[in-house]
Amino acid sequence: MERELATLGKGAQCCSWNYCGQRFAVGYDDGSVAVHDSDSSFSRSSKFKVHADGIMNIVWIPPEFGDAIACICIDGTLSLWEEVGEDAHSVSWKQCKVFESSTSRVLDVQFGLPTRYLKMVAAYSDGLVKVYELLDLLELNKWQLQAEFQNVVDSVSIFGKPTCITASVAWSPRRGESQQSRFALGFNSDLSQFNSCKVRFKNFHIIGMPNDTRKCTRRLAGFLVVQIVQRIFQITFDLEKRLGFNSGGVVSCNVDGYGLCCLLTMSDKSWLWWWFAIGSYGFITCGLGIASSVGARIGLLFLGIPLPGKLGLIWEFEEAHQRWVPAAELAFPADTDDRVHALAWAPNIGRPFEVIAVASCKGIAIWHVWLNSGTDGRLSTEKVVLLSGHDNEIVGTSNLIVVKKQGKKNKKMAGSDSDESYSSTVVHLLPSLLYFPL
Amino acid sequence: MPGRPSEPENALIPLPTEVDVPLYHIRLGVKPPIFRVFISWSRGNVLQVACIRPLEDHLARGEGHETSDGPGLGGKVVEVKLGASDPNISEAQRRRIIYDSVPPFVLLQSRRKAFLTMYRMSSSSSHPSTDWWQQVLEYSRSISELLGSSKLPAKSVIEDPMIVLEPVEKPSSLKAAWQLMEIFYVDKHYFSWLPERLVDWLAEYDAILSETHMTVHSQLVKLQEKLVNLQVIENDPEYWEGLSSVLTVGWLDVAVKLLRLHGSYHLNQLDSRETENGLVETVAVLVSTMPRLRHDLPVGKSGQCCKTKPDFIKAWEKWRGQITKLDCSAFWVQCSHRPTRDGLRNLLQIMLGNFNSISTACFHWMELFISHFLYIRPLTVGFEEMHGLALKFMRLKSSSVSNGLMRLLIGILGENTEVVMAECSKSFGPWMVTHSAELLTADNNQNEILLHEERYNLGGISIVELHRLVYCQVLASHPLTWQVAPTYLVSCPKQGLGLLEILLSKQPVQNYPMILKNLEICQLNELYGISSCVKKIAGMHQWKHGRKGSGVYWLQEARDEARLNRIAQQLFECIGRSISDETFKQWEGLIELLGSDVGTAGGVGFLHRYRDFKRSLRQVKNGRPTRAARQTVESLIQLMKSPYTPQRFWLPLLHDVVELLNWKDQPLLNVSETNFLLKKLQELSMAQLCPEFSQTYLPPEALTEIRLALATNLSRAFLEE
Repeated sequence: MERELATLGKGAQCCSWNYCGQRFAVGYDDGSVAVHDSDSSFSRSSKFKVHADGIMNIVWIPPEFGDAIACICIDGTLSLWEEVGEDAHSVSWKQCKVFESSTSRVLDVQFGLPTRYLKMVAAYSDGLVKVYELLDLLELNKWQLQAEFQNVVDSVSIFGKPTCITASVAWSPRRGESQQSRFALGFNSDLSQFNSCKVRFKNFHIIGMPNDTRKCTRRLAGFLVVQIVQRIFQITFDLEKRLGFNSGGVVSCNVDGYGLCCLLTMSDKSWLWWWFAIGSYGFITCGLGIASSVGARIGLLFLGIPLPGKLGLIWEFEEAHQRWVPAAELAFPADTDDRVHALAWAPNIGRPFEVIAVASCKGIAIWHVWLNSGTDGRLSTEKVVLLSGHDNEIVGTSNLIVVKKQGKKNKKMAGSDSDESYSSTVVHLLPSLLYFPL
Repeated sequence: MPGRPSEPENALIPLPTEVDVPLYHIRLGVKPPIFRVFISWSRGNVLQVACIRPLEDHLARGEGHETSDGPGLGGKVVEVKLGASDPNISEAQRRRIIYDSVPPFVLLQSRRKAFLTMYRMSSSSSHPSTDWWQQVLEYSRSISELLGSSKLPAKSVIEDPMIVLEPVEKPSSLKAAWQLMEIFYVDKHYFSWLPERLVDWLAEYDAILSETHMTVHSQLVKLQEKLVNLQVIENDPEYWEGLSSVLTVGWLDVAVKLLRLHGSYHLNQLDSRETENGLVETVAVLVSTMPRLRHDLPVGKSGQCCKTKPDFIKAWEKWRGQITKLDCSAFWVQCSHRPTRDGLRNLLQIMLGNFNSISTACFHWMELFISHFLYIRPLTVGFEEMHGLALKFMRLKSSSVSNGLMRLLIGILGENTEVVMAECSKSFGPWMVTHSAELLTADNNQNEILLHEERYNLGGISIVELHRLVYCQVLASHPLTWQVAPTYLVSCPKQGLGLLEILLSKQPVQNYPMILKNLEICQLNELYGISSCVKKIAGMHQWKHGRKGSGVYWLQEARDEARLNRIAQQLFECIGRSISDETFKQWEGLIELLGSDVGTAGGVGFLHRYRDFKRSLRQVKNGRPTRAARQTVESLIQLMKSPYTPQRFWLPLLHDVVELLNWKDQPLLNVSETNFLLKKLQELSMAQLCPEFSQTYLPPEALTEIRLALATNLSRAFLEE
């Protein structure tokens, strides 16, 4: 069943295959990268020094941009390298770009499917997510930072920035120009730092933001700007009504499946708005904002902050507003202790829903996500199954394949004493079907 | 959740329990501990797994594992193929079957399409399946043929009387299964003479009924070995046992041949054993004249062929009467050789349908099953009570269904299509289940609905499509078979093209024939998105690897304007950096290839005009004076007028034409043109004062030289006008 392709040299740290599986790059602890080709029966075709520190991860860049890789080093430096040559015999790897950050390390990088622009998502150790866009289709050296945000549904935590150990990004593999850009992201963050936060807001989760709530938030933001402008420039014009705010009374109220309630009250001269978030277990958090017509100062008090950083979140790009918005959260209210080790987004050729696997310390959870969001504007999700790790250690996942280190009992059955054998659980083979055991 | 029924049995996807998830044990050949594992899907069902060991200093700090793999080993990369293939079929044979089964499959699909269209067009008076099964039968026979040659009647057997069993290759269980399905699902002719068809089937495949238990075939093999050495054959009980066994399963030729090996036929014994020989011969004649309800009997086969039921009944009664008469005759008393007497009478009992005799003579339940229809219920039609009988005989022979072939038969007899499909898939692999689905639906509307119905729990596809997709995944796993997959994928109405897109986008595009093959498939299936993607990948690969022309060609094919514009821009910048004849020559071909209609950058437009200018200038130098000179100055004026011509080009352009400005025969520029150029020169002199002006490689006196030449030309032009 298995066939040995290559033997890796001493100090190998990571390995990654290109789009057709005909080449793979191996990162070494001395900061070098070796590329193996099927043409040369997977023997090493080139080796080059990338960095002084060891290579932690390698990701191949989509082939529409040449033969290129992204290398993440142990010190968190991210560098892009591509293969160039004048002819078939003088091929070499050259550095295109280095992303350095003094404050945080890059943990994972993934490239979206190349549509008009190549998008790159980088997850940083401080819980930040940065989305870059390639400006030059021929060269990999010009990148523009498109967005920067934390992997949380709500605003930045007042408790400080988390420290993340690992991160995993998975782009939606749907092809086609019209497809919306989407990716899922999960962190494995430092738990102890967030213990209080976790306990306190154990049950508070917002999955996306209901459409009208979001609209309401936007209106609110717009309204605030208008108020400030009015105060500063001493002009009065009746924009409130144009923005859809009637004077006084309840403006919008919505309760979603997780108990988010948004209530806005206004009066003629001063106004305030309230946020209520009711957790599944009845825990109530609320946000209160006060603004007065007398002064332009705005007081914002958020009592409830969602649990930052550790859950699998799906982000989607809103073309209309050119921004990334959280579309779904792959966790249950009770799953607060889940550190995400790996995420995988399965290909889809006809399923009405997407399949995403989230590997955490509890096992592999398979989620169904319906992309056609309902009237409330958020994606429906459902956890279909949890493939628990038992006493086996999960050491890797890829597109819903789980590789487990075999327990003692199984080891005996396999009859191998010398070799440690690994069993891979194939959950999904056909891209169209979730579950098709071979 | 929206769109999801709450009942678990109607769930969108059957929820797997831990037990149902298939586990593959992979031996990586790397000693523990393992530090990291990387996995990636390769083509089809192939996985690539890299196993990485911890660094040695980590090891030393840990439990002190010794690295017996060698000090230099950092890990291993293995390829894992999921889904076991039939070990009885060699890889080459498997591939041959894959290739050869494509034409019959494609033919049947196109016929099906035509058939359905015809059915829809015509009034529904005639049922579509009226003669559809004949098309399927033709398909089934072509597939059956490619699964291996059937047993040919060996002529040498007649010549050597001692050989009762012809030596043939072990038949393939795949073909056996295929033929079983053909018998039960496709051929309507067989329905009236099912027992006979099963006898023929058993004659071919008895050898593979069981790997562990005795069968008539294995008994015959043993007897064959013994025959050569035996002197008095009729004294050996194994001879009589073998004889009764072959008669039970209906191998009449072998039975007659064995009977004629009886000692009484020897010339020296014929006189003393006259009655005995007479009895043996009578039985042999009775055996060889057994009535057989079938359409035709191959030449040289024993038995009396009866095509219709009344004929058969008549002949059967007559034949049975003869047997009964012989059984009651007084000749038995005169037969002194006891084994012969008992053996022959046992044969008569078998022919008379004595269940005990038949049961004793059979080994495998399938043999008993078939002989039951041959001697006890010869007029059986269709599936009548077959399933019950099969189970009864299995109990009787206390055998379990360990063999895939037998499980398949039980499924068929039980009229359980799901079991049949599952068994085909489990025992014979995805090839079998994909191709045999056509047999199942040949003449069975119920199966047609069952297999072609779109199922919610399969993501909206039918069972048939599901199995085709699975088969395509298997095909895609091998570099030599992936090209067959598109043929099957296009027959999957729902998700075939989606899977084909994934398959094509995972093909390497480094070499030219591969790209062409990919593009051909894209073209056939109108997958323009993927085709453009393939061209882009190829273009970028070539561009980055120094084959610029080829790169531009592919990008043009992909109509990738954005990249072509960037290339044009790059060329423009490159030429602008040092505008010498050498660099221009280097890029000239590319400019030609890029064409003039690339984008709106204007850069390429300039390059084209510049190329024309250089070309005519060269012609002037090569001695084709006046006309070429005129053309050159025209190009020059155009270039200078164009807003896209960068300022840094002006001076080199004018410097190139100094010679032409002093043209002997006549001034090439008129007054207004010369004035325009002087104006441009003035503009340039002003620009030179700016700090950001980029200096050219021209000598410092170039400007004065040009000015002088222009002035001379102007004066000549005045005079001329």
